Amino acid sequence: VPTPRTRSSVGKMKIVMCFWLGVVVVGLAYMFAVVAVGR
Amino acid sequence: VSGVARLRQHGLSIFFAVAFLLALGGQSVAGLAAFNEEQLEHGAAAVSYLDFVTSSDFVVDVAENWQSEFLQFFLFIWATVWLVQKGSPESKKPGDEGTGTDEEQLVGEHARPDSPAWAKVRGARGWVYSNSLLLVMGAIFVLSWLAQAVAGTVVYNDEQATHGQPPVSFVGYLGSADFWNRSLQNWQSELLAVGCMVAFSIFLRQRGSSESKPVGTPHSTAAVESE
Repeated sequence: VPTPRTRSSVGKMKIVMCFWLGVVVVGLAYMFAVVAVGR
Repeated sequence: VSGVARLRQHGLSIFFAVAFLLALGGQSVAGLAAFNEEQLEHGAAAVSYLDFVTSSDFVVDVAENWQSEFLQFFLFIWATVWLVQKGSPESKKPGDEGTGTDEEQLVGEHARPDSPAWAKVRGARGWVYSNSLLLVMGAIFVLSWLAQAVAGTVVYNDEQATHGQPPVSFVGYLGSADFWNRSLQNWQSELLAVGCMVAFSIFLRQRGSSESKPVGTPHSTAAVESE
């Protein structure tokens, strides 16, 4: 059974995963937005 | 655990995040300088930093490198399921090719109490989770390549207009030398580097790196076997 400590440590690792996924998603969205406005 | 000690647990991510942002910032500054040099050579006006980073010229350069990196990892993850390289720490040992048994993979009824929830179920959710790394890397590759193609069409047609040539369609650009030159020049370097990493790590070592076998491990032994 996960203890509060291991749960919080998984939470920190989730932040790391979400950060990198966020970088990629924001990056791709930005690139598609630029080409969508035809620049 | 102190704040610094907690940050150190994520040092690899933090180092690469900072290095990525510095490199992307550097690319935007150097890219602007190169772009404006060409503008002036053609007697056109220089553009601002904001104009450049919101242009297809900047996007196509970012996207073509993104797609090749994600293709590299997609192929590496996929190929290491089915193929092995004797002695390489990047590989499973010969004979272990394939997706492994449910018992080895701790899925379904073989999952542990602390296994991820989606590893405990079968069906679509179990399949998706079992392939989630490959699916996400593949999706990012396809989307980056698409962004490269769309932005590349805009840049290519700008150049066509400058030289008094007719524009090409998106599909027409997909068959153009420019599109494949941009794609393949990135792919060849990624494939070379992966091949070198797989082969060099049989005989060469970096003490302390998770990418290397321990220094004294025999050449014919993969890191997995030595454990």
